[in-house]
Amino acid sequence: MIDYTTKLRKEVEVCIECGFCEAVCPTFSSSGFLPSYGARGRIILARDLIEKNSSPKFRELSSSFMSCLNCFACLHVCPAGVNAGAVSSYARQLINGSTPTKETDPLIRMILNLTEKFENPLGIQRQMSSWVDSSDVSFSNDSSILLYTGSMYQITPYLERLQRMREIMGESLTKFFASLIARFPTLSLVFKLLRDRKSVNSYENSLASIVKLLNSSGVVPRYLGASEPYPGTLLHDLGYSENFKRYAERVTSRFKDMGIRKIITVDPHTYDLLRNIYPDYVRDFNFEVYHYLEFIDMKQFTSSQESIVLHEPCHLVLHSSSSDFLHDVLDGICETKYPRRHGSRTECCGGPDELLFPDLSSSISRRRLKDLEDVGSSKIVTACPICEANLNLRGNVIDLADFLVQHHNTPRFSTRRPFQRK
Amino acid sequence: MIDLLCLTEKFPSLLNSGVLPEDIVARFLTIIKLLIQQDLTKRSSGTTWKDYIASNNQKDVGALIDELKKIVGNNLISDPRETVLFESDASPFRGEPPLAAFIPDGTDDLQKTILFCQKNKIPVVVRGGGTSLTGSSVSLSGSLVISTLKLNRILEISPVDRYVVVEPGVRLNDLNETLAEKGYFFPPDPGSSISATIGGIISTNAGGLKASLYGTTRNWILGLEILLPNGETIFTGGKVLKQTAGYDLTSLFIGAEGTLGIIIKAILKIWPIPPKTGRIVAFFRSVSEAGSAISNLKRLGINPLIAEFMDRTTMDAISTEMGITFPDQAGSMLMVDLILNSQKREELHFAGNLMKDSGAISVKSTTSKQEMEQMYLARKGAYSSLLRLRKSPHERVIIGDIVVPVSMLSGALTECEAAAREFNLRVALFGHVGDGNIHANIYADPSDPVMWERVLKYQHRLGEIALRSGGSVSAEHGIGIEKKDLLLEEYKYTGSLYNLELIKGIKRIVDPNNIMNRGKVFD
Repeated sequence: MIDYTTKLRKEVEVCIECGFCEAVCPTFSSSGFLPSYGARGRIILARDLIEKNSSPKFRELSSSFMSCLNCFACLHVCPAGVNAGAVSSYARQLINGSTPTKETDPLIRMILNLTEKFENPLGIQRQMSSWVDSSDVSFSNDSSILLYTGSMYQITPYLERLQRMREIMGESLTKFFASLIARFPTLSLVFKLLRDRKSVNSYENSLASIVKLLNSSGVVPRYLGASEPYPGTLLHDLGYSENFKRYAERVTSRFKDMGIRKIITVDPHTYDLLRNIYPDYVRDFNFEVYHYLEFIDMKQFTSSQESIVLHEPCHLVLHSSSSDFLHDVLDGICETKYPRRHGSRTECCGGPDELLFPDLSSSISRRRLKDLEDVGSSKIVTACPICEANLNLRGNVIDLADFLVQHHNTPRFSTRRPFQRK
Repeated sequence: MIDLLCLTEKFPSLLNSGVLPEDIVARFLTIIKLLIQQDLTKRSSGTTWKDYIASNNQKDVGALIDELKKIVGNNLISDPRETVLFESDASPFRGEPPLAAFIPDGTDDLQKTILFCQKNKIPVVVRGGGTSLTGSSVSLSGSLVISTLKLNRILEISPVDRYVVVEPGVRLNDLNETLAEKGYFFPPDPGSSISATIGGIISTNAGGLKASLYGTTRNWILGLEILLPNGETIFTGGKVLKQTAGYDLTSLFIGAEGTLGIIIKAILKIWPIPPKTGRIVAFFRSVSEAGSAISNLKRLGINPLIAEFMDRTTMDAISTEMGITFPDQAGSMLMVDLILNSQKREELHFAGNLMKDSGAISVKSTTSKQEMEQMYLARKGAYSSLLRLRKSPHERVIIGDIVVPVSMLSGALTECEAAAREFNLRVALFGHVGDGNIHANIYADPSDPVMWERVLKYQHRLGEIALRSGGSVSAEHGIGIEKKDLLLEEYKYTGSLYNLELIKGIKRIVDPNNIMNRGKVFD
């Protein structure tokens, strides 16, 4: 097992407490400048956590670490090279680590139980592959290249609806239902009722656009359909390392059994998880992991006078050493503008906090959207379903794949079959 | 009496059985201790026990916090797990547990809060980005920390009159990004500009790279709005470049490190962004030659926009960490930026030749933005590279900060280098030498008393070098906790110990109860 205490110690001991990280930490400013919700505060608290690991009082500190968005903005401004995002991640694993207890937030218990039982955090695995039915895309079961959606595009509209339900029901009723589902996972079938057709269609369309673009670039991958497992992102992000390790091994062995060598991911979170996190947990995780944009043939688009604002997802730009493909693909298609915070200073959309800190998440999203709108273009483009869900408050955010399809040089480059009610 | 003292020591264990509530025990013990230790005449003058305890600053902490909450509402933070985070800043100094922290979102409650602190003699520590390198912003025992971070509005920008009105919590980089959209900038640029706030840079009179041409923060403050510890709000200066209206009270608050009042608004002078600049990088065999080169440059009337220096130790750190290579025989490097007044590069050629005449072994100049950026990478990564070469987790890089007249740089740099060898310390020198500012970066473990003693002696020696050269013990980091002794040395050396009396006199008038950042700058 990974020694998180040592990892945490190595990270925090080089911090000089200069506070540069606080200036770029989205949760610090959105929490009203509470130091425990800022990157520097988290590092100082993590020092205490190392010293008093066994003390139950440090469970109370968990909101400091749990609220971290893991955007890594802090790492890019730290003169000492400290990654306060990683600090929060290690601290979560130390505080939580193993099986949840009765004190664990019912929402977390529900997600953990449903993921382990159904390989899907909302227990709606069958809904995850419905997008293929209405899409004009090609797959090949013989291919050694796997298209791994990670369920992020598909699950996002359900999470959006769940958030709205939560606002209506209030926290206590939400948690009551969550604890009920955590105890009786089959009750999760109620989540199927959360299907908002318009929203589901929109995200499924983006997924279809991605595969259509891959197809037109000569890539015909394999897809697991209804048996594709969720990658376990939330298990890791919530700090349940033992559960995550078991789960990641399960997913990996599935890939190995099928003779997969290359994995094409479609969203920044799954891309980051498979490239940077899985190898730490799963022995011999020797797959080649790509982002779909790395396969896109740039010659298939027409240039236009259109001007867009690009919101660069943090898991793509701040977590990876190279994300040039995100910018390269837009070169020559349109005029790409950037908000004040972009590149290595890009700001998170607030999405990762939506589950446990919805108010904080909402405050971050609204601020980021304002920054993007202040640039002055009518269209905001991003390449992450979570960013889209959190920023698309006024309907002016579009997924990059959909934008690329709009600029394809083949007339009527369609991604979907006509919608048919079953 | 002795028996009573014994009782106060033994009483807690006698009562640990939990028969009496803890707060009653604590109050009882307080009264007993006061009876024994304090002046009993006050009791005989008719005050109640409650008043008596309050007058001795022993007022129940919970009650104080409750009263403060009534004034400031949810903007008060009293959870010790949160307030402990105000005990540190970017310095090696650790503060003491504060009573609470207040993060106002407007100035309405500030006056009531300051009057409450005045009445209850609660120390006040005002804090911006918490980037002080000398301990100015660490909390004091039982203090109220007032964070200015929510007071972060840019209120007015006037390009015609060349000023901007801001609140104290605006971060420097944020201000300059906004001003850049209009073609202007605010020149002070300390290394912490990403996080440092306007209130903080005024309070420490910060400088930075461009102080070589534009001077320090002091030169860029037109006026201030200050909340004094007695609750009065004063306006100093104005929106004009010329104003001779009595004493210059604005200057009084620049560099005061929060010991006199709270800056609640500032009128800053702004300047057009220079249209075209060029950059020269020159390498020299010794630190002394680099010092002479800058001196020669200035002697011939060339005033660089920035003039950055680094020694071989710094270059080696950059090589190790960033893979940038430097000439083998180079003992120092100078990076000089000039504002170019014409499309021709005459000024750049002239300055480059002057570097060669001053002994440079290699000179490169450019006006290409990309190349300039490449050259700047080394300087930008200097401190990071030094930090990453610490030999143990407890080791810190203490940044010494002195200033000498430019004409004295050559000798001063040589002396700083020699003193590091004398005290057997690993020291890397860099600095903004265009204005004579030298930073000696000292690798030291503050928990090692023997080494720390050597560090203090070295810092003292740096101060001596600065004073002997006609400079100062602090260029741009302020005094804080770190340099109180050195400030005294400076006053002694310049025969102006009466300055301290004056400063203390001003402090007594403005802050008679000594609540504002008590114990910082001077004791």
